[in-house]
Amino acid sequence: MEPKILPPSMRPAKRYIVFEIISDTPVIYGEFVNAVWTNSMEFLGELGSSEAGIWFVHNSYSETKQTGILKCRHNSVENVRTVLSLISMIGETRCIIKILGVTGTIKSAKTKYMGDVSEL
Amino acid sequence: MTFYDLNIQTSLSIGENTVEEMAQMARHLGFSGIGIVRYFTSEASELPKAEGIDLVSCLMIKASKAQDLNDLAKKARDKAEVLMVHGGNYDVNRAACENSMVDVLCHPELGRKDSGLDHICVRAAHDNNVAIELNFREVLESYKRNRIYTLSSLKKNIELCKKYNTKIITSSAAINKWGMRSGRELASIANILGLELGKAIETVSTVPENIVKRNREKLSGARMEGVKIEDK
Repeated sequence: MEPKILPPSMRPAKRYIVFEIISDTPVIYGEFVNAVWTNSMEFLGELGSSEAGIWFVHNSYSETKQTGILKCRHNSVENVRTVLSLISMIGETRCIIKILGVTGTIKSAKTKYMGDVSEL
Repeated sequence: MTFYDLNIQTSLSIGENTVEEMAQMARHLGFSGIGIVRYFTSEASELPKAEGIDLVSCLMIKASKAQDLNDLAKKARDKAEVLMVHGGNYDVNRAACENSMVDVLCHPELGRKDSGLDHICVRAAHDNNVAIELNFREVLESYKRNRIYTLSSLKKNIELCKKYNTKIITSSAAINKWGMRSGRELASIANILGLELGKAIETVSTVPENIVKRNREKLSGARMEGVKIEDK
């Protein structure tokens, strides 16, 4: 038996952060994920990271544009922004993480900031 | 919204990239203007122009004694759109706060374990219209214990500035184009260090913009101490 999925009103409120990785050479997505976790552990610590509830929406990452979506709790958006801005290296590549916007649903994240017209 | 980053180091000072490269990255990150910092010497050349972005000429004064700072500030004031002071030494920090010719006191906590400012400095900074800078590079390039010291110093400075209503600006102080961050990201660090979100965003938008605007009016002769010429 698995626990039942919580009703929407009892789930913690979340936000989706749309980011763009600016770099000279292409970045490996796995290395970006590792960099976020390492930075989050360093800057927010174990307690802060658990409160931030960072979750990667893996299938939304676009290799060509280097844009993607990251999910976090609604009251930790500023903390996650800071964690992303403190990333300066992914693997061996120097980079800047630019945040394109913060939304409440994946659908609006894709249509507003990732130029996805299929959802319209 | 217009975002300004007043502390950008290029190949004209200690930076690695040229003004053009930095301007290009700043445009990509959504800045309306960036301050190109040069260290003050007697001869000041013109800044190169860049399309689509406002380049502000910032002069940085580096002095080891309070008296030297006041002398240099007098010489540099008419040549700079924004006059900055290289902080770190308590005497220099205090002299900069007490000098109304100075616009920005940069990194007062540089190389120190304390915050480099006390209530007297911050109150004087408010009276003389001097802004205190939050330096993002200090946080980005330090790690472990040093980053903790830096963060606590910045937090303490923000607390003091809030109490005396002193202006704060947040800047990336980038020495290469990879050290730059967009305006909203710079505001987020000011926010988590204790400023309210609205005030934190002002530190990268309206506060630096007003400093530049006021000084340009002064340089063009439209504004003097206590008097401003209005257009009709």
